[in-house]
Amino acid sequence: MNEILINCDQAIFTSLRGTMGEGYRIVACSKGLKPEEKQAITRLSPSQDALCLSPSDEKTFDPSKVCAAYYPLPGGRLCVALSCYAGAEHTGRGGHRAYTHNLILTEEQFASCAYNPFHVIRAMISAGMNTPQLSPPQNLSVVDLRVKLATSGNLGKRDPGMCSIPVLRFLLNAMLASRHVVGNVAARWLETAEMVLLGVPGPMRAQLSMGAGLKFSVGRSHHLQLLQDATTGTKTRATGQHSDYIDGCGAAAPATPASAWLTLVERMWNQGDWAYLSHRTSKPFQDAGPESRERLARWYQCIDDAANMELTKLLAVAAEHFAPRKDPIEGEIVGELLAGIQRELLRRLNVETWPNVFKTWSPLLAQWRRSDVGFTWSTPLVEAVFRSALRNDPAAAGALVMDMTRHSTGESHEQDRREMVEGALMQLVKWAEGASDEQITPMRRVVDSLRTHRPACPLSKRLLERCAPKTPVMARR
Amino acid sequence: MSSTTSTTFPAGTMVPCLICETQNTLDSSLCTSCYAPMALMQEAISQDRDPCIVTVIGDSNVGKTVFLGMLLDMLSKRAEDFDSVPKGAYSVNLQHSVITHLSSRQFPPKTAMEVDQWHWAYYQVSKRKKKAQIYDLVMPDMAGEAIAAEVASPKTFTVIRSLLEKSSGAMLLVDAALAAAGSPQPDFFALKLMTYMDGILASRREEKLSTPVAVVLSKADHCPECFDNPRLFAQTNLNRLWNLCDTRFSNFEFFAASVVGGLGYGTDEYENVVPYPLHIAPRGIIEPYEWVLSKL
Repeated sequence: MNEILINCDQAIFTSLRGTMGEGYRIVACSKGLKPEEKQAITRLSPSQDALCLSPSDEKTFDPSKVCAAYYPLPGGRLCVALSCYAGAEHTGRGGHRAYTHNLILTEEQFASCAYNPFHVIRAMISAGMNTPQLSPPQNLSVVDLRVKLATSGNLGKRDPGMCSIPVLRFLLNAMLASRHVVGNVAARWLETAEMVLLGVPGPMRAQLSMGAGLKFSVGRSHHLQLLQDATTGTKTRATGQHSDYIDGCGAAAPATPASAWLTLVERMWNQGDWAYLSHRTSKPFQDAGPESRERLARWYQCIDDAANMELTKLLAVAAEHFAPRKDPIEGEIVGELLAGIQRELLRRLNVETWPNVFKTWSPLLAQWRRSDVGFTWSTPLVEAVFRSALRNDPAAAGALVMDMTRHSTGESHEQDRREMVEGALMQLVKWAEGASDEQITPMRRVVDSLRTHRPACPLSKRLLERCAPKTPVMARR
Repeated sequence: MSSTTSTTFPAGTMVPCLICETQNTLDSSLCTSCYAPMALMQEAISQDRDPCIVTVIGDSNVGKTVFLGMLLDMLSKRAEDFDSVPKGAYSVNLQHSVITHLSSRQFPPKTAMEVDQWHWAYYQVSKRKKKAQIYDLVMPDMAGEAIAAEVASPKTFTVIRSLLEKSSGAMLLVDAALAAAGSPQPDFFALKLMTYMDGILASRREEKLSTPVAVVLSKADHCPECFDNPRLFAQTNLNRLWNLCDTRFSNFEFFAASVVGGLGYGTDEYENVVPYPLHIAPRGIIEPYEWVLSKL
């Protein structure tokens, strides 16, 4: 399991009585916090009774449950916040005291955490930051935090209480459009938020904000706000602030536009393969705009669908992707796509019938000759087709060698091509020398052109010699 | 103020926020910039009068909510011959909450820092006599922590700055009980607040500020001597504040006030001391308000 160590500034926001005053404020922080960052944390941290937790209800209250948020700070750093209740409000006026531990990450640290604030939140819980410190020193040190880069094991356990896929899709669609969306979810807001967030391309997450388990407040209007709220007031206030609102517990989700990216993420949600979803969406994409996302999704779709595509379709898809990509991440994904198609083709060329395999020869040969990338990618496939031919129709294998001999691949790969041809010829010679005269007969016409194209080649000579018709011996009287 | 008397607007009309003047669409319930209720502006337009904003400020747990809730309730009950009409049901929420809690021998919960959770009251107030001047008063109940955060680091809560800039008068609550017990905290916090107001409202440094500021010595039941001579109490126990007021403000006065007549104490499960108001005995609530009105 991947694990990284990050060291970052921290701040505790809660209500304490101190020498300099009382009430909600940053009661302790490390020295690296800038004034404008403190302002944002003060403005966005939950205060009195602002968490969707009900400690007074002993039957339903789960003390391990926490609330969380992350948001960009002025100056470019990001705040990851973990909130819980810390007993009753100290003035004795009733209500629960909210306690929030904030970690401040640089963009680089956020990227190294796979752009996933939930990795940090899990690490904060492991480090005991969900246990309120009600007598913290005013100056905190920088935190050294071990962050495991693994998605939550709870994500796979979708139960009926969680949002439906159409609701998740609605939430994700709003996030991708950088709109603000409020979702009323029954419970498990952290898991739901992570599922949605994993559908957002990594670098884009750094521009967005999220709150999970915090009561709605217009002053704390994060892009994604998941909460548990039985009243209708939240909907009125959210829509009044031009935020989308969805009741994840009840009504059906409104339709979302057709999108390859949404479909891709939805398929992976259904599969429950969170690590793979995270792997795919958390790359440092240079461009995570709508067009790029659709392009990326189509590539991933092809990778996933390769097993169900016809051989010629696979070749056609591959042919579209030999052009080099400017974005190295896009190049990496296209490389994954081409490798996947190649792997699938190699598997299928070994098991498909020869007529089906033969259909691939012409497009394959075209790619073999087209470019350096095409040559390198096609070579194992060309060899596989040749082997299939040799097994099923040796005369056709001879014809393939003739094709390989006749068609140049350009100077850079000429030597490789020659070696391939010689290798194929060698296999053909070996076959021919072990074959019966009857088996050889269909080969004769095919290898005849070797006289023209490879007159001096010793392998050609051996093959021609073996394929030459034997002169009938006259019986002596 | 717009001279529009009708509240019917064509679609797409933008309405400025009463507090920060940000243009908002008609369907916005809260200002998109400062989160003040847009109902304030809608009421103001329908009144066709410039409302006076009177701001109640003070440290966390000084008693702003109880003071303001009690004041509004007393106005509703025609105390001191005042006549007051709440403009919009939302205006009644604060007094409703305060009186309900006090009646059940509890203090109202702490005001949340989230601006949209604050209670705002919009009242039309006048004396019950012919041709008495009518004041449209807007009074928000702000969280002390938000005020402290804004004073410590301006622009943390822009709504507070906008409010003070627009305020015709202010009531600054200072915890007299704490000051009488020798804590410098009330004096310093009040000093910071007045300095902040001075920075916002003063046009020229050498001119004294004319905005009326009533300094309310809250929880005065703990130190009854401040009812006898609030000025003397302030000079003695809040000397830094007194000196600043004297130097920079031309319209200021000190008042002693208390709402509860007796307190009982208990502890909660976390060993916090919980005060219980045993009975309501408001004293000195209307006077600072009346004084501010007289100076508007």
